[in-house]
Amino acid sequence: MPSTPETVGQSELIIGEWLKQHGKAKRSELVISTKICGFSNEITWCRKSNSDEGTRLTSNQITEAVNGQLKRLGTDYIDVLQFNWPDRYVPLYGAPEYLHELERDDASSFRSQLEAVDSLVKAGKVPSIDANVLFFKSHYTDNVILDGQVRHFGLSNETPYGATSFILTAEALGLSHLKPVTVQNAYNLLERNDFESGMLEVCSPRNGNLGLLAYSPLAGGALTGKYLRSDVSVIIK
Amino acid sequence: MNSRMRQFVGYMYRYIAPPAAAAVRDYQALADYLSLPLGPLALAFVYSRPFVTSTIIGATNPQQLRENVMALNLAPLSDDALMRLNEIYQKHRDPSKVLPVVLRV
Repeated sequence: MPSTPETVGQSELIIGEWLKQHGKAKRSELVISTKICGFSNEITWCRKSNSDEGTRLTSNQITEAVNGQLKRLGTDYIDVLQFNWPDRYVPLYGAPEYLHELERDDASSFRSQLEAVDSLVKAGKVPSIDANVLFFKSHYTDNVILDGQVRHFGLSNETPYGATSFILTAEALGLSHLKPVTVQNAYNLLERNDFESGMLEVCSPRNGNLGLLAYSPLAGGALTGKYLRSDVSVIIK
Repeated sequence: MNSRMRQFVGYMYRYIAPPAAAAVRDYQALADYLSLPLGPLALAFVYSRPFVTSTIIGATNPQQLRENVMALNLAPLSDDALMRLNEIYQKHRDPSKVLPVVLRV
């Protein structure tokens, strides 16, 4: 990070190299999670099929991104596929305000994104002998065989509205196995309020039951104190 | 210092801008009081939260990696440490929210 044309996909190649050398035998013991880019007009180097529409979370681009990752990783499945940031407008990376004028009418719907991921999960659903299976969704999820290129779905740089929308849309579409399992958002001593004031409730075990994968836990290194000891004016002159 | 903030001017500026720097100074003072390096203390705080499943750490040298791992050995943080961390949080509630600045390079 930050993403550049030179480094895009490098992490996956490095991990793929390690996997090749140290054993595909270990693969079932590992949890490999990846992220694919959300909406961007600036990042044009991560997918080929984005020349007309920009980088988006459309069905085609999601599929293309995942296929690229599987190839670079040298594996045939990803444990947790995350969207790096949303397709729709949200304030990102510490932006201090929500600006309505930046909302976009053409944002991918929650439904279309879930359906795109579902085609990659290719879940094989095993019918339960329990007559009440339709009324106990957790039962039903337990009987779903996750056998495709993606096992689980996770979010990143999401908001309470987005996370809840994905959860409820997945339930409404009968895609309970695709309810997100993780949220990867910034969380550190300088950035607690954002998460604790809204997303924490969504993540609670009683509600969305999501795990937080905290990124920037050291605020980009600032929480080591190293910039107190150096000449910060050199950086921000 | 071969860090991203030096290589990419403006990158993550919000973590070193004056409001954030003021908060880091207070957290550093607490770390000194607890006789701990700030980095591992800050990481140990994140690990102490029950809703945190994992963190995304980065290390560009072995020393950084050692400090990251040290945080795991600091658990559990004492009630006193957690209370003092929360006191600083009350004072610096959202110090990384800064309006965009134009940086002259």
